[in-house]
Amino acid sequence: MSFIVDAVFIGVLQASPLILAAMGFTLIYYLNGFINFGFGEGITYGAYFASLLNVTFGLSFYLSIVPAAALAGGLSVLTYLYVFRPAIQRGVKPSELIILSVGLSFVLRYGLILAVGAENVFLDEPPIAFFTFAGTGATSLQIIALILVFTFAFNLYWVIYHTGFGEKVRGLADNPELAQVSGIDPHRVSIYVWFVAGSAAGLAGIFQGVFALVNPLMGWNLILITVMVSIVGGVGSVRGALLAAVVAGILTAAITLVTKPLYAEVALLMAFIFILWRRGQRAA
Amino acid sequence: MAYLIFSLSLLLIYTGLALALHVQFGLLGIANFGVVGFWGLGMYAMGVFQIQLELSFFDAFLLVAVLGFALSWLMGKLILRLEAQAMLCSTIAFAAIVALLIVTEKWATMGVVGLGTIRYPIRIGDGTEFFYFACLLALIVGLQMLVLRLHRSPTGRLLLAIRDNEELCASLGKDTFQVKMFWFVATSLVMCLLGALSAPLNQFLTPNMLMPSVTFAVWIALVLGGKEHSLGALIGIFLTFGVFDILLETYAPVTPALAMVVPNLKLFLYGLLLIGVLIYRPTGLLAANTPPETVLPMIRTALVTGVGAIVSTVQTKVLGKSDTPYSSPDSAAGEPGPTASESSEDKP
Repeated sequence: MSFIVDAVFIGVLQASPLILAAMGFTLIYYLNGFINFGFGEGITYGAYFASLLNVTFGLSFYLSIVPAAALAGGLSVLTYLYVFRPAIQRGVKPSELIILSVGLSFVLRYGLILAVGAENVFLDEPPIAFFTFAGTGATSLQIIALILVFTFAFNLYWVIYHTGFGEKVRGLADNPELAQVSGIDPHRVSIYVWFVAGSAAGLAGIFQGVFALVNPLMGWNLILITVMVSIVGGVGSVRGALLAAVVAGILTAAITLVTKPLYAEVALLMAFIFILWRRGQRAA
Repeated sequence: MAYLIFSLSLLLIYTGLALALHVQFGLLGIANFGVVGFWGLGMYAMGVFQIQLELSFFDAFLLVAVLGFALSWLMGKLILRLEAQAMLCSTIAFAAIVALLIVTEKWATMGVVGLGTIRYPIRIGDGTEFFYFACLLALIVGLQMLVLRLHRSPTGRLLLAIRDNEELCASLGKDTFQVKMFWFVATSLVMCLLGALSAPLNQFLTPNMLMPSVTFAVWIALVLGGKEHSLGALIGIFLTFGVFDILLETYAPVTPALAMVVPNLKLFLYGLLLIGVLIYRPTGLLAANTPPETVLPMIRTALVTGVGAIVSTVQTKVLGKSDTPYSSPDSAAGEPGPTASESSEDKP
């Protein structure tokens, strides 16, 4: 029993970067219909923006969260405006857009390595308090991350399903031509969505960075699991992404408690291939 | 010199991978992002069979072929009915699983410590490396010939038909899944065996050889060269691997400080190149092969008009003006023939 409690507890606490990344990723996939591997670099850049503000400029960690996430969102909008939108307008097919996004992710990642080097960077952690609940512990940082994640998730859910803007996004995703005929400006909506998705990636990177460390490969290491979780959770479903990310986090924690952490990743990847196969044609 | 032969051998291996991927993606439309999975599996299996089981090169090679066949078959069953994006995710997950298991299964692969030394199949004193290179060259030339032949064959046309419209093809009575299965397994097996062949080249295997960047190097080469052209893979590999890894590393005056930057710069430029090609020239440098039915008449027309032009100039230059009336109807008869028939076909 205590094993299950431990797994659930650790899983949920550690899942917050994954939840954020999966929610952001699923938005772009929903709106534009392709898997954006460049999204992973949003995670990396979010962490590096935070380290720039936090370590280089000496800003407190909590104050650097919002500007760093906004910078990551801005970067995401730039990639949309200067890479993906021209490509979509030129009629590049979804499967080729994925290859394009891999190219973009190479440019961003190795550009970053050329600019700042490949060394690990550590964020200046704020003073940490330690709480104990029912025999297991959590740091104040993990709890704040979790609260922020659920606030973000709730807001996103609210915006997508209960506001006029969300209706526009869903309209564009379901039928772009019809949405445009109804007077929705695809350009403006896309910019908003790419900004929100990029900020989510940035936030994911900031928390991943403060839980562990910041390096140029962190986004790439997280993107595969993010893609998996978003696809399994259902494309465009904020709730599904949240749920799948939490389940993935709990599974990882459970397997890690029993054996090596790398086996958890292997098991998740195998489960992913199996789920895609079971779903057959209607997979993505 | 030894290093140049090593690089050239690696170039051949990469060409082979790109050729296999060309058949998968260019002809059949199977987006395989797990190239490094198949290749790395073959390479490590070779190492494990040779070092841990102490098998000879050829026995190990046979075992790799069996293992590669089984896994390619399994992957084929799992992914070939999926839609392109899901297929891509499954294969990339497969490659990640292979890379992870090679790190975790220390009892076989020695994990991050590395596995070595893998022997060449035959030792001929100092000429071993060169002999091996020559064998690889023969193999890759053979593969390229096969691909060229495939492009001209009815099978090649069947593959293209399946890529373009699988439902239509199935409605004409072709068992499209079986065809895809056969070619996917065959080409993935080629990737595995190329991995097995690159094990003696590398001699010492470490898990960081199985980075996803191998997959993307092959993809970038193929997309740059022209994914649908029979020579696209070859040209792409020469323009990427040949230029960056052989020409630059061998001949460019690289200082030690710069040498640290070059690999990152290379991947950065690969990325830029890929974005540029996909946006501005999606077909790659070489567009799809023109079918022979249109090539042959084209050559004939070119020959007829060319010969006609030469004949008429020779006549005017050598024989003087009096023959011009004869030469112009002559060339006119050669040229408008096909155009007239074309326009008459177009009208109704």
